[in-house]
Amino acid sequence: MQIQGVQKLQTDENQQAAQQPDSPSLHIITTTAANEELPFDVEEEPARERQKSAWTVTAYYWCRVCKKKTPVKDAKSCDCGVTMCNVCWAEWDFICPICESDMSG
Amino acid sequence: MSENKSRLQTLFEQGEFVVTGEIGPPKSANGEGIRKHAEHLKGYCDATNLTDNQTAIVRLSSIAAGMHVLKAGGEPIIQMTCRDRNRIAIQSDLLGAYSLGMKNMLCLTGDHQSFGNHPTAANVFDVDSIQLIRMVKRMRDERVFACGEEIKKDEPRFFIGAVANPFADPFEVRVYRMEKKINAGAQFFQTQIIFDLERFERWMELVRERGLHERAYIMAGVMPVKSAKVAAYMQKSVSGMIVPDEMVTRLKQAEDQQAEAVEICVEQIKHVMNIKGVRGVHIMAVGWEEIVPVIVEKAGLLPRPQAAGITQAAG
Repeated sequence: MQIQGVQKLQTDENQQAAQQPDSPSLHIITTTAANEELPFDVEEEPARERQKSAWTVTAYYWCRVCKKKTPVKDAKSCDCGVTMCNVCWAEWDFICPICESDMSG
Repeated sequence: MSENKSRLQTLFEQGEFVVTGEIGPPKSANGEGIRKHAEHLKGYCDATNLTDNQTAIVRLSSIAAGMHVLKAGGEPIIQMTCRDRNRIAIQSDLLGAYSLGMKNMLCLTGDHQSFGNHPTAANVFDVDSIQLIRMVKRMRDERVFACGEEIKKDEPRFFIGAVANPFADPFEVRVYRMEKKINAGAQFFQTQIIFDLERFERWMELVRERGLHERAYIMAGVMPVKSAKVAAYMQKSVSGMIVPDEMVTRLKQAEDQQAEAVEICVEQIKHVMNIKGVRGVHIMAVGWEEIVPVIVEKAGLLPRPQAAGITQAAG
């Protein structure tokens, strides 16, 4: 009967709830730093800033020259579209090889 | 809706050799730069491309950029890629762009998002560039949306453009792909940047063999390469482009590399003008838009012709 089916389902859910998960939940990662409220007189620390970059969906670029996956903080993208890792930018003296914009900043 | 042709289409139909430029919208919400570039190109280019998140990097939208060009008195060619929109969004944007006064549309597949600044973004590719061309044509000529529903009034009547790359492999297939685009409804083509003139000439031979130059207007893409450094970078790191060694050497040996770059670009324009079937030139001066008027003048393409029945200035 249908009622028995519902009871079975409830039993299974109870059993599942009683078990501890083997791996962490797949919810959006929330860290202490993300929820922490800082007093007005305390400046944010670099560690907190670094953590912020992990919140974004994109955390890396593909370098157009060496073709390597590079963390965003180690790469730069020029307005004209040239995207390179900082190592490759250094080879071009941080001057965009297409539009000659200064990328040292 | 009455026939309301763009300046670009009118000039092609008049038999003029057409010149178009290109503006890459900024990575900001400021349209001042676009208006400045558009004013710069006014009187030198017959229409101006506005790229659609080029190289998969977030930028001011091509339709909004087109509005800035219109306000500056120019004529926009709106680029539309298949990467970021499904057919509902594309058709919606087509209606919106036409309602704002944009009459030229360039249909592209779009660079893959993994190369841009949001590499993990989901792509769409609900339709490919050929299907997109067909969709724009059906909206115009058959007055129907992609689903077949009738557009009861005020259908968008775009002059439909597409791109062709004579330098991608396999070479022999390029012309067939172009023909597919023409069959789908493409009326004009802008090619990838041409540095290898010999290969371009061979491609044009294949185009003429199939009579494609009589079915669509072909514009040759050129780019002033600012320095030997730029040329070397493009040769090494930009795919789908052939940069001959002679060009890099010539720039390296030049006393004034920028003047030499202009000279090379002018020579290329003069060369392609003499190739049968080439009906115009598309100048892509990435990050060097201010040089376009100099190139147009030196190539002997001034003054720009008037389009019969259109008072709008070139741009």
